Amino acid sequence: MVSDADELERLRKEAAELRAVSRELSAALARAVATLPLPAALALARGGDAGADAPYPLEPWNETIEMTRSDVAPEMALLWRRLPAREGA
Amino acid sequence: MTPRRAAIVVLCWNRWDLTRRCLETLKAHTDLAEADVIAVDNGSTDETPARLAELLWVRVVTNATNLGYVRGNNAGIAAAPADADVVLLNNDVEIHQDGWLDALRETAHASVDVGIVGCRLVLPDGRLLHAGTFILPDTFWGQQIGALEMDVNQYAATRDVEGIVFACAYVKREVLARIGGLSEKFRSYFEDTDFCLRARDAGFRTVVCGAVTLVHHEHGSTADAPQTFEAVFQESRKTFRGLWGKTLEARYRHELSWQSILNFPTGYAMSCREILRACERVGIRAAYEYVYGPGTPFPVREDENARDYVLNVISARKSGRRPRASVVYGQGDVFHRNRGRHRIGYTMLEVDGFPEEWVRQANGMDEVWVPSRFNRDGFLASGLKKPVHVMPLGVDVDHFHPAIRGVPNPAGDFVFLANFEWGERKRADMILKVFNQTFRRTESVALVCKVINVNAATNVKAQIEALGLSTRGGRIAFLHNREFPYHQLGALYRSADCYVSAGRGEGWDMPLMEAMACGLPSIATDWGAHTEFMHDGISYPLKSRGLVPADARAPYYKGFRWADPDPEHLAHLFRHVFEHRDEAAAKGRRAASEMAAAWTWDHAARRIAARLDAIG
Repeated sequence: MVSDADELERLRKEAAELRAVSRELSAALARAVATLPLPAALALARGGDAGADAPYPLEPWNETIEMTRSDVAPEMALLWRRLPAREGA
Repeated sequence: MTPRRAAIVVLCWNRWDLTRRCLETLKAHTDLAEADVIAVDNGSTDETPARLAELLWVRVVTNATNLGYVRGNNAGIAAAPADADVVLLNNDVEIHQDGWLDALRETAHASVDVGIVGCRLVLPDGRLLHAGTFILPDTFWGQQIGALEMDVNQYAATRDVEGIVFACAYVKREVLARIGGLSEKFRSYFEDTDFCLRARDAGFRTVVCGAVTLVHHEHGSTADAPQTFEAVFQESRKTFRGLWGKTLEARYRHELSWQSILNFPTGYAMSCREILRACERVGIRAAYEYVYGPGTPFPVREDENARDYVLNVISARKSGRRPRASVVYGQGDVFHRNRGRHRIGYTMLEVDGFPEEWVRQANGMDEVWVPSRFNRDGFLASGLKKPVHVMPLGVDVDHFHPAIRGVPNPAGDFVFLANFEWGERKRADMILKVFNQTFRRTESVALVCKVINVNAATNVKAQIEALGLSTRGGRIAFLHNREFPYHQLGALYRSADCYVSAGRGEGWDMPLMEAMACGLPSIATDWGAHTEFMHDGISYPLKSRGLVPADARAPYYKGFRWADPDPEHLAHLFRHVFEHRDEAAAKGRRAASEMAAAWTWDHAARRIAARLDAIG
């Protein structure tokens, strides 16, 4: 017979494993995005639902699967590249 | 006045490759007119003796055999001119900073009671390795402050510490005259902390000069012999425990049970971590216990690993069944879990009152702590009958200060920064719309929003698109669900020019305080707990149009009110700061000074110590 406690422990373990896999995927995605050429990174970041007709195209948007821990310096460097260009600059 | 001469002692044992780099970089970055270089060859069997003999600017002391780290260095100290200060420098250190020796010397002679000066050490890969040391009497395992954090120029100030690693140690002659050289009770390891503690007993302080950073190839001379390292280390540890055990235990003036939350990404947990570390520094021996879990409003178990040495030690301590004084630091509906004989509930909230259940439980405490007068008044108005003490939180000025290295916008745009969790309270919609409408895309200005959203049902992207922001308006960039290591967060603030916190209410507003400590001018709503530390001399208070019902998902807000930040005034302040940058920068500088002078975590912990004194 499987007790509730055993089942709870099994589910907790499974959830922890899934979270770990998810974090690894997020981190891998973040690393991949950081190395892509800008147009490809933007295309990936936009996904398929932020087309040119959106009132504010959210070029600087960078979607994530879940919270991703990363270093500030490369993240900010990428952010400045993603910032929309100043008009007339 | 002529600076005192310094003798730089470099102990060598084989590994000429390391010694060569050390001496080359030393020569390149040191004014040798005011320093002697003494290389102590500790019985090397490689090319070291022959190569050292070729360096006419280096005085060589030769030991026939390897005498070990302590006796080898003592031979160098003995060979130094009798009136000179001594710098002990490992041969696996590289110097890439002009003026390093002058800075150490000036720090050493800035006060008669400074005896030993260390510096920041970084690994060759750029990670910080050392900004001082300490040893907890629970484990007698030496810890290096800042070890393995990405270097963003944290710990840049000159700070008092318990000890330093002697990979680079500037020792004043007065100290050597009083206590002699390194203790030969140690062969290697712990002799540095032992020396600093002996110096302390003789009346000398040990400090780290944060303006000097050297590169350290740690354990260069023993890296190839791990068994040797382990054996020598454990022997020294035992010796050290015997010598200093009682002294280290005597650092604690208070015992305190601390029931809270530590290992979750919440405001209480983040501040709890800082409070516990600061308590340790000011002589409070805290024992931590998780207050939530099954049977509480947050029924989740806590990971036992805090991923921090000091916090793990504090978590492993036992406070007994009925500790003398216990603090529950968390929401007021878990106060009842307090196990102390003197029971303290420590909490905060973002609205103008406290829920009935919190007040009921608070009235079961011996006393209540809140971080602000704002919360004290709200608690009293809600029916609190027990004594209430204002016990402000703090900020980590080692990691949040104006010299933290940011990543500035390469186009030179003026950058406003907002850092918040998406939701009704923070008025993200207003900040985005007002910024977008206030500025034009032609202007050299941008808003960076670091947005966290933990609610899977909330589509932040869709909500932003629904705001109808104009592509011709002010430009905005988002960092969505990017979690940065806390020790690097200062680099985010230092990448901006002004911080914006235009929310409806705050229980403290730690991000605002961090930004201010980093020297940023700030725009912040003039209502809430943060008015405890924010004022118009160091910030730009944002007017509220009055108080409105606190409608949000949080059940604790029901029936209370919070501010209604004025969007027109926000637009005015955005434009004003953008056009008066010098004035804003001056406010930012004053903010940093004020945070460092009065609002650190050590200040917060000393207030706790004072309160414990009063409780008796």
